[in-house]
Amino acid sequence: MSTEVKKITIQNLNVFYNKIQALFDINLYIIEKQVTALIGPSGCGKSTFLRCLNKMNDLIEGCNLSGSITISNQEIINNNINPVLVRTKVGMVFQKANPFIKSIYENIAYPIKIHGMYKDKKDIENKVLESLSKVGLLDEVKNRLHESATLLSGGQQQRLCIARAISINPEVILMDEPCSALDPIATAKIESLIEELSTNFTIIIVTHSMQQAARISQNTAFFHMGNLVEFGKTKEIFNNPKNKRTEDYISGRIG
Amino acid sequence: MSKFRLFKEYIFQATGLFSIFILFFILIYMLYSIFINSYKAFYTHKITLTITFTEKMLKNQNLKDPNFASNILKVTLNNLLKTENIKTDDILSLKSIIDLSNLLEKENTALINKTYNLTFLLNSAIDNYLKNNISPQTLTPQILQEIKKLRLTKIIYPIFNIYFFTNNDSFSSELAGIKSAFIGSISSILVALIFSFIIGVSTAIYLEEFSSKKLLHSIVEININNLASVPSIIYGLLGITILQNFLLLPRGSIILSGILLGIISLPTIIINTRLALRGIPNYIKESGYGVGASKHQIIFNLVLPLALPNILTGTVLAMLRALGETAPLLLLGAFIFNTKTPLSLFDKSTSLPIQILLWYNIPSHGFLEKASAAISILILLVILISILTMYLKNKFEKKF
Repeated sequence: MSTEVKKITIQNLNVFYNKIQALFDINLYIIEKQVTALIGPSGCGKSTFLRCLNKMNDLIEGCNLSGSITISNQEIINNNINPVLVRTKVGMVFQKANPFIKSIYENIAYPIKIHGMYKDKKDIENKVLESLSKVGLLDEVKNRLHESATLLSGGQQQRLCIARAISINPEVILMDEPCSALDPIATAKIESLIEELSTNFTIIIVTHSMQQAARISQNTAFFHMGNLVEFGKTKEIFNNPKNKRTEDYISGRIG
Repeated sequence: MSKFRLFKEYIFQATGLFSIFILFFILIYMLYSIFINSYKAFYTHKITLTITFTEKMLKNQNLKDPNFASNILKVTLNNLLKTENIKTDDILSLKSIIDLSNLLEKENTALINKTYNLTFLLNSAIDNYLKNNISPQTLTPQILQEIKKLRLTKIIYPIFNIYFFTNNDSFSSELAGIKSAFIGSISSILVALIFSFIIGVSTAIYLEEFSSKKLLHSIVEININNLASVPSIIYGLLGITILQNFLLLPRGSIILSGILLGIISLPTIIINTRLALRGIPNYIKESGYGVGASKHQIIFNLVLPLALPNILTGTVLAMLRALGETAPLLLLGAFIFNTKTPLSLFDKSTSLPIQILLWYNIPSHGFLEKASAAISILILLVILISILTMYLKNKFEKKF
């Protein structure tokens, strides 16, 4: 394995929703071009944590953050950085596939256009086709690029969302339970896609499936009740957990 | 127990059905009575007169003089009806005299020794007599008998009343038309649409998407909801003080009525637009944030296209209400007898509902028919706009 570079460093992160504290003093680092899985029971703060990384929590009224998050040595919490810039660098794929209510082509061309990556129509088209082929969707949809994206199947929609996220060349991709609404075949496709993508992108994935975390991630963080209980190499967490709660959760005794 | 539950369900369904039946009955009866009262205004009667112009007739006469034309018609009519004491305007519309006068002036001596079959519009008294069998008191029963005969021999014949659509208001009911009121209504609604759509939609977008939910926000919100239920005549007073006395817009003009109707529609449009925006699920916005779109881009590229069909429906509903709005316009000087077609936004004009009021106030059968016909035109307009809106909504609505 190549040398490990810390892409994201999280220090003393506390998150409050109004008066209720959702995350307690999280210290964590994300390694570049690897897959980091966040596991834990529902309501433990995984998604909250994920949404801190691209400032999506700013959109929720009454949400307060303290601590520091640095992405590629840039602090994103305390200074007045434009959230749009953060979200350009840190793409996100959601639990429910949410393509834009536009054509398949426009779904990928739209982010390219709004960021002004290319001016020429030919360049945009090339980038769209490239993104689609990266997620293995090109062969399936090349004859109906201009049909509505909502006509695709759930798995195809989710891959389209991934294609949309990578089309603007982000550095990090956040995935919030991307497979929870999909059947095993579509899940398998997305998992292999995540593995491929991890050669180029830093991926953080929230998942409820222990097996999925074990299969695709190099690092795993276990959250419980708003605390980071354990963080380390996936193999170690699953084979040799240091914390009792982690062991209980993995073996199905809590959660 | 189970039987009681079934009974309750049955009662509930029966109540619903009954209400729908009542509603349907009212609707059908309304349309029926409007039709029954108005269809007579859509046709009128004309008479064919055969006139031979001799040299003796035209010699040494002032052909431009309407009295001369009137005289020719008088003689012809008296011959036709086998009497001697009939006057032209007992039978014919004033327009007939003008028509003949124009013909005489135009053709001049070319008319000599030629026979013409000319058609002339009957006046409203005869027209009404033929439609409703209400005898005009100026004519004797013998003459009326003759008129009946002419009707049977098709010398007097019914024809589609084009004047109702091409004429402005008039003192003679056979010539009165809705042109100026129709143009006034449509153009003031268009002014209202432009004014209220731009201001209303921007206000709604700001309130829904940008403003922080603070004290000012709730004050504005409460006020907008209240404004929607303010009686429209109060807006008329607002129009007088601000639009007419301060901005000095001409009284009774299209632009004045239009802007006032726009102001009246504003609260409805704002409320409907906010509802439409609220109906867009959050994940649509999140998908935009996920690829780093700015708030402005998300609203204009992702949210608005989806909300637009509903925004348009709400706007059209508000416009249809404005179309039937009468009270505030009465205050603003739109209650006028208008014989001129409005040519610019600053011209005086009346509107369809006010034209209906004007005609309804005249105790004459002809004008009552006209009022009913104008109502049916107004209703037809509303139905057409509604159908068009439904069609557009279905066409542009996207499933999500």
